[in-house]
Amino acid sequence: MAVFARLISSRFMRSVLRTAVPLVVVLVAVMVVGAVMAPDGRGATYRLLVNFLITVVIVVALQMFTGNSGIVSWGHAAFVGIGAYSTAWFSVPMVIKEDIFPGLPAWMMGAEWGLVPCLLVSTAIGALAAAVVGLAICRMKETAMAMSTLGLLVIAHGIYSNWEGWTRGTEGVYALPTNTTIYIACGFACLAVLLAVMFKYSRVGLRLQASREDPLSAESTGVSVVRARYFAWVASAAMSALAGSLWAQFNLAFGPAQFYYAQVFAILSMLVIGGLATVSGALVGAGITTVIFEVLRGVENEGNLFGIEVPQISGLAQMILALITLLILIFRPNGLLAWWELDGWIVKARDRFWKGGRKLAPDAGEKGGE
Amino acid sequence: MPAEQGQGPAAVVQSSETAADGTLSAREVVKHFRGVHALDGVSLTLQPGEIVGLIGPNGSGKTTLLNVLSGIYPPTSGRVWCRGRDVTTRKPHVIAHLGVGRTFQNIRLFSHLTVRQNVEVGSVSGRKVEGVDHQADVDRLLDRFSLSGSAEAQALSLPYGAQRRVEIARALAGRPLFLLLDEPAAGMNEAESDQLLETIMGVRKDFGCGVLIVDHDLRLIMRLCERIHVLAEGVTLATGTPQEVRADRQVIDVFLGDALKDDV
Amino acid sequence: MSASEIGQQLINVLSLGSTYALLALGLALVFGVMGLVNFAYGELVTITGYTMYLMTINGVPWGLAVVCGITFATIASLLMERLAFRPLRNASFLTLLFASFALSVILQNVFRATVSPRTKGIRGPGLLIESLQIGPLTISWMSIVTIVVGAAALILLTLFMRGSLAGISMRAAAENFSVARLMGIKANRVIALAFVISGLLAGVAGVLWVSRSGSVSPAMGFVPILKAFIATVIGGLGSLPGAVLGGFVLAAAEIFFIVVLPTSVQPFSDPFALLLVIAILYFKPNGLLAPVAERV
Repeated sequence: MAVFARLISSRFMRSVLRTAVPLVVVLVAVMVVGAVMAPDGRGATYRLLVNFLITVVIVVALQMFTGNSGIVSWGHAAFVGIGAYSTAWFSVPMVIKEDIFPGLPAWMMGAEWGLVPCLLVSTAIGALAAAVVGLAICRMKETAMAMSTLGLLVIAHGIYSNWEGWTRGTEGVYALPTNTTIYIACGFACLAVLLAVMFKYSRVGLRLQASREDPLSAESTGVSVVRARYFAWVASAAMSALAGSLWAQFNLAFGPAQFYYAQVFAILSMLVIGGLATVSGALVGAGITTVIFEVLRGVENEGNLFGIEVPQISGLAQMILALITLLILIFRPNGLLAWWELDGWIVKARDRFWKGGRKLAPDAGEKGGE
Repeated sequence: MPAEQGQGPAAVVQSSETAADGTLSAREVVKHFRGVHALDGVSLTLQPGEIVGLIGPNGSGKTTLLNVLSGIYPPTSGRVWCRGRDVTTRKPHVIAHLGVGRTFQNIRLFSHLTVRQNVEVGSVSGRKVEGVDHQADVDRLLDRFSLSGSAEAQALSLPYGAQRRVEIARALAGRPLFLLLDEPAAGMNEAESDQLLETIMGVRKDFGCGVLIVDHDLRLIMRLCERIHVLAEGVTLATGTPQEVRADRQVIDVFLGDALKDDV
Repeated sequence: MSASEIGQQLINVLSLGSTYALLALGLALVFGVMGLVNFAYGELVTITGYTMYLMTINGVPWGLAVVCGITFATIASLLMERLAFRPLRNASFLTLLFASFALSVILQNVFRATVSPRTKGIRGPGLLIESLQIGPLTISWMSIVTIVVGAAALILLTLFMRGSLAGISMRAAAENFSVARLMGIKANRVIALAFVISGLLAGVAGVLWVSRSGSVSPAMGFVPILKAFIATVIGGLGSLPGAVLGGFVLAAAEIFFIVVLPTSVQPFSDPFALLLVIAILYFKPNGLLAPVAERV
């Protein structure tokens, strides 16, 4: 009990709670809206909100690695795919599995697992894959790492598209059980946010951020840059695989195209728009991007903008999203939230309100309220 | 990495007396860049607790020697030893764990992290010592370098002089036995450089570490150092006490010139 | 494997490799002068392809379509620099990379919306699909043209980079941009020139690419940029000879796996080649011809 009290009062836990609590509140609010609007768990809005919550896990996972290390990863969609496929191996009913996954060994053929074992095994497989690949990738120079993660995406796509017996190639997988509900999605989104915030304020997270700012000076300060990157790589890949598993158990059917270029772009855009450096940024970016996409998809597919008829344009949603991303990079290169988490912005706004618009010091950041 | 057995400050002082094993040394170090001989057989030893100045004209290899000592460049030939271990080809962070801290000529802070976080990285990543209270250490260092007020500011928002102090604090936070300072007085006026001198003296007294300092401010070097090592074109020109170096004909001819005659 | 088979595959490596080398050079050049891995570079190939497609279906002769294709890619490259990358001068590697990635997606969707989301066939001169018999070797005219064009472009570029003042200043800038700036080389001019040459190379490579594949599609730029990116990184990002070497190494790796892998695992030849590349980077993290280490 005393240990617990000390932990809670430590600077680390104070920072973690201060940052995580507002984000958890937002996520829970999203869940409540969904649960109230669609108590039967059906409908487009419900689907949108659940998919948003799962997307939060994916973006937050990528933020853990890319945000803290400053190294772009195109490869995380591959880990989302690993999570989704391994979930399919262990959850699709046996009768269908014999048809779509003829290559599976007998013991896997019989597996019809539920939510939790599927999540566990997917996360483990994702972590294992990342642990192996990371041995090579994490000791490269930053630019070579970026390229290798792109290579990883292409390799994974090649495997998903061609490994007939295990993935059913480009035809895709179907018949997964629906296990993910809005409560479960919200629970894991909150967990992801909490873990990412803890990571950011932890020693490894701090070291990794130092290496993002200046790898050479971090090394000279005693940071094993390779090791910090490796840790974040594996942790964030595991979280991506977990998200993939949640996603698969909600969307039920998928193919290799679901884990490729377009998805990578969407996830990276969310991160760039909200701001790479913060967990809050990942969440804000995911929210804004989801809304933009939803509105524009109406235009793209039905020629419908808030009920008004407009011409259908192919690829419009993606184009506008890309344009917004480019404009953000030019005019606000560190993203909407830049270097401060939501709590820092709340403090800023509160101070501005109370002090009647008096200009604040530029460093009124995370702990600016103290 | 195996967790290294900690040594308290007491052990530090002891090892300084028991010679060879407790030192940081370059032995016959040669470093070529595309055929340019930046260093051509330089040997230098730094004991804990002593302050050594490294001087020489521009391009004489001072910074290169610091980079070789801290593991940033592997030398073309020659060895680097740290506390009885051959660290010639080891990575910088391994050498940092053995107790070598450094600063850079063109300040290299973690710009978007706070001042506190900068120092904290040093504390949690430096030489391993049992039972360290990192938070308390960081607070003490911030206080010592008058940085407490700006602890939560991003490092890049600080004025130049304060950034220099952050860099030294970050290096010290790693509990170094050897501190390598690359032109810490660059861009400082006389008053500031006097203050720096106090700081370095204080650091040696309280932390017991050996300091190797590269600077062009000869007034500072002469007053601060017990021993001076003079480099010219990648070779050792002279080494000895400030008095000896000052008297060395060759040194005067090659580079000290008028600057020192006034002082003498 | 017989000697003639080896000869046959060597020609394949040369032909594929020279296309990759051209692509990689264009990418490396721009990286050299402003630290940007231009992800939208692949879209220059697409622009060449669509220009040729739109012109040939409207009855414009092939030769003219080729010239226009290359010209448009060059102009597009220059426009990219002006509109998207100049405001980002001095931005970090990551910001530049993201920006070019976004630009690439914008362009892909412009093609999708304005031309067609579907793949379109494009017919080149009949000669290119015919072959030439030299002793035991059957060589397609496509390969011969590719190798000749590739070699000519490499030689011309080398002469330009070594012989002209503009070329020398660009090499100086690529080696060390801040020093080049101190020496008084106009940053804007050098960067614009790099984008022009980069566009030219993409255009030439684009013509070869489209002639070989015989089709154009909105997302076709992905493969060329991927190959160019890989080639420059294996060669050592920032080194121009490295980019050329990287292009040939990548081509050799791909052809090697196509030849040695049994038919059942043939679809995995590209993943295998990529794994090999990653393995090379494991042992040489800075690439084969790494530029000199950063001075501290």
